[in-house]
Order: sequence, then structure tokens, then C-alpha cells
Amino acid sequence: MHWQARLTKYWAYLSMGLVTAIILFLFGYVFYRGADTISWEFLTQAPSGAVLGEEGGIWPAIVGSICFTATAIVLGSIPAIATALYMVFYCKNRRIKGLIRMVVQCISGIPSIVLGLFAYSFLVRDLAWGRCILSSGVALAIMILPFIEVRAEKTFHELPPQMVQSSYALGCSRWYTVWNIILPACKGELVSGIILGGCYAMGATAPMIFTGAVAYASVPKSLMEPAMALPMHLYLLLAQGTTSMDTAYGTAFVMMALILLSNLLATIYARRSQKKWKVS
Amino acid sequence: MESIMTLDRVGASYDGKPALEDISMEIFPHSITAIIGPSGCGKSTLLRCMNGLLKEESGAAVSGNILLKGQDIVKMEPEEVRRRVGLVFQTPSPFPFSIYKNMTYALRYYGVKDKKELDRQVKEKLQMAGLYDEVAQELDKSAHKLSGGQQQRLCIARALTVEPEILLLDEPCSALDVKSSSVIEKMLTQLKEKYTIVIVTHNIAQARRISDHVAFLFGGKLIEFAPAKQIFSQPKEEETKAFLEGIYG
Repeated sequence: MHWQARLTKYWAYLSMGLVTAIILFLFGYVFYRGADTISWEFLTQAPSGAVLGEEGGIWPAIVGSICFTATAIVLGSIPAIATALYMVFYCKNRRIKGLIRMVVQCISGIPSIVLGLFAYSFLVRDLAWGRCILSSGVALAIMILPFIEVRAEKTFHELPPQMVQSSYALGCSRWYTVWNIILPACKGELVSGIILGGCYAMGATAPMIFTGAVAYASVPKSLMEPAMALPMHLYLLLAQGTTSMDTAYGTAFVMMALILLSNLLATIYARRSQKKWKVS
Repeated sequence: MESIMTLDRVGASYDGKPALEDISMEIFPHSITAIIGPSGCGKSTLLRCMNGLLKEESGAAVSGNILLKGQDIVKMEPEEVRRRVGLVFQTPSPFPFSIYKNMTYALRYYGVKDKKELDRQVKEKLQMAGLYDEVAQELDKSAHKLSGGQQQRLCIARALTVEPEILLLDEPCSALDVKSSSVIEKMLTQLKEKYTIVIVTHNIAQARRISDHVAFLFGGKLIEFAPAKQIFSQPKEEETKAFLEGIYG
């Protein structure tokens, strides 16, 4: 073999090994350090004690995180998928397409703390929504919108064009085709993109620091209440220094487990529905 | 004989690059018109003009007039044009549903909900496409489990469910083996009793076997349009002659 080819091969192997090792080590370390803290109480009780996280658990933060994520998913994925549909099946003007693509790229380039600032000044203060799940949800939704849009657009592009055109050729409207062919055929990929977007939102702290996540709250009852969130909780525990390191690792454990599980579910779901819809 | 569709100086372009120029021809009812010509001569583009599907593609533009029973298709609703002028693609493209659901897809769109009527239509159209006997027991089977030839006949049957006046076929047999092709050819000659058929093919022998009229396209231009007998026995143009003799293709 040519030495360049050999070098490339070793380089690829080395990089693959390195990446895998880093990921395994990172997850292993967090799970190892956090495992001792994990108990039924830790998962199901509210934090208590003189210093935050000294005693008790993280239940409100788990529920809070799920609420933030769900709000972001609902608010973010609907416009994201609609945009992708428009880009692929409706818009024929290349300039408009280019403009939309640029806007989407710009959104994905906004630093998340700036989204937090925007949501704080516009939603929390100007619109007087106050610090609540909805305010943070909007900021997170804007953050994950490009993420979902790009994946949805790619999925729509990969659909065999003849399948869509066959529907048009029967005289069926675009709307009917979207609902009966395009969305069902892309369901797996879309759901997996949405879940991955959700994971991204679940791990983000900056957009919710000033807009809805708080140091302590009970389990939220409506979207107009502030709530605890896992990444925010982790941040606060770390900020307190060594006293709450164990709970910090426990929190990280739970957060990573949730994200890992969601990723796994997304992959399995996408693969299963792909098999069902496989086009010969 | 009065034509069902008239093409009057039809032209088409992609991104300003002309693909078809000045095509004028007529499609006669209850006949098979074959469009032949070498690859890239604009056969498929012409077919897509006829049902307005070309306009869906970005960068494509169509000029000239296409009249369906005297009515300009540009002035009609695009869905209406496509319902009346069906199109079957080169590669079989069944929807990833069961056979039954493929057949009822468009009927449901047009508001047919009655189960008995749906069943009747499915049976009738599958019979027309010569597929019913092969799949009668397994209408719930995924359409993708059928063989290539069966899939293509399903697509033709599906196109018939909306009762088109003209059925356009874009090289329907090019992805199929000889036996499947001959089944489809036989079916098409039966279908012309009820429908009007326009078929794009680069298989000269196939055009000779089934067509009543032939249009020969070359370099985006219509070189010759004549009854099949005449074009195969005494082509008028040199290019036609050369193509039929297999000099290029």
C-alpha cells in the first residue's frame, strides 16, 4: 500500500479510537462518580437542607427539565418542519430559498446566552410573562429550530421524488400529499430529529438562567410558573464548591442518562420506521 | 378523426436552456401514440408538459399552447389537468402502503368513502391492468413486496382509478424484463379501447408492436409525426431513417 494511504488509514483508526475513548471515559467517569448518590430518594424527593442540594433529591428538577424540553419541542418543531416543507415542496424561487436558508443559519449562529437575554428582556419584562417555563421554552425553541429544520429538510430531500410526483400525477393536492405520503414516510427521521433537538434543549443552561429556571421550586403546575431544571441545578451545585460535589455528579448522571436514553429511543424508532417505509 | 389533445408550438426550458422547441402535434383518442428518439432528446420533458407536471420543477418553463379537448391546460386548475391526464413513471413507484391502499389513495382524495364502491373500483382497475388474479388474495400485502413488473402494473392500475382521459407512460418497461414488458404491452393494447395512451419509449420494436401514431423527437425538435405504419415503412426524414436503422440511439 502507498504510504499516504497507509497514513490516512492509521490516522482514521487513531481518531476513531481517541473519540470513542474520550466518550467512554467521560460517560464512565460521570456515572462512576454519580452512581453512589443515585437512590430512590434522590430521584423522587425535592432538595432540602441548609445548603442547596445537601440533602434531598432532584425530582422537581427532573420534572422541570422535561417541561422545558417539551415546551421547546412543541414550539420549535412545528415551525421547523413547516419551514422545511415549504423549502422542499412549495418554494420554487431560488432567491427566497437562499434567504430562508441564510436566516436559519443565522439563528443557529446566535449564542444561546443572547437568546436568554432576548427572552428575558422581551418576554419576561416587556410582555410581562414573568420568569416561567413558557419564556424559557420560547428561547429554547428558537435555539433548536434550525437544528430540526436542517434535519427535516434533508429527510424530505432524500424522499424518492417519483413517490411524491406520483401523488401529484393522480391530481392530488400538495396538502394531501404532505399529510398522506410525505409526513408518514419521513415520520421516523422527523421524530428522531425532534428528540435529538429535545436533548440539545435539555442540556442547555444559558437560555433559561434569566427566563424560567430557578434555584428552588416545587414541581411546576403550569407553563406560567418558573421551575427547576437539571443543567441549572448542576450549575448552582458546582458554583457552591466542594460541599455539593456528590449531588452535582448525581445530577449529571441523571441528565446524561436521560439524554442517552432519548438518543437511543430516537435511533431505534428511526430505524424501525425506516424499515417499514423502505422504498425498493 | 378529431384529436383529444393538441400541442401548438410547445417549447420547454430548464433554467433558460431550451429542452424542447416548437412542438406541434395531435393526440388522437383511443389510440396509442409512441414518442421515440435517442436519450436526452426531450421525450420525458414533452410528456411532463402534457400534464403540467413540468411546472412543478424549479427552473422549468413551458411555452406554447396545449389544448385538452379544446381547453387550454394553463387556464385549468393544475390538479384537474393531472387528474384528466394521468402519468406513470419509468421506475415503478408504488406508495409504501398495501396494494389496496395504493389503489384507494386517490379515490379517497376525491371523496369516495363507501367501502363497496372502493372495493369495486379496486377490483375493476386491477383487472384492467391484468393484476387482479395475481394479487386478489393478498390485497393487504405491502406493494413493495410485488415484483417489478407487478409494481408497474399496480402503478398503471392506480393511475386508472381517477379515470383519466389520457394516460401518459414514461418508458414504463425500461426497468422490466422481456416477459413483464410483453404483459404490459398486451395490457396497453386492451386499454386503448377505453383510454387514450401516450407512451415514451426508446425501444423501437416496442413502438412498432403497439403504437398507432409515432412522434420522432431529436435534439428537442419534432422531426416527424405520422401514423405508425407510414413512419416504419417510409420515413420521410433522413434523421428518422437513420434512427430507425439504429445509427444512433
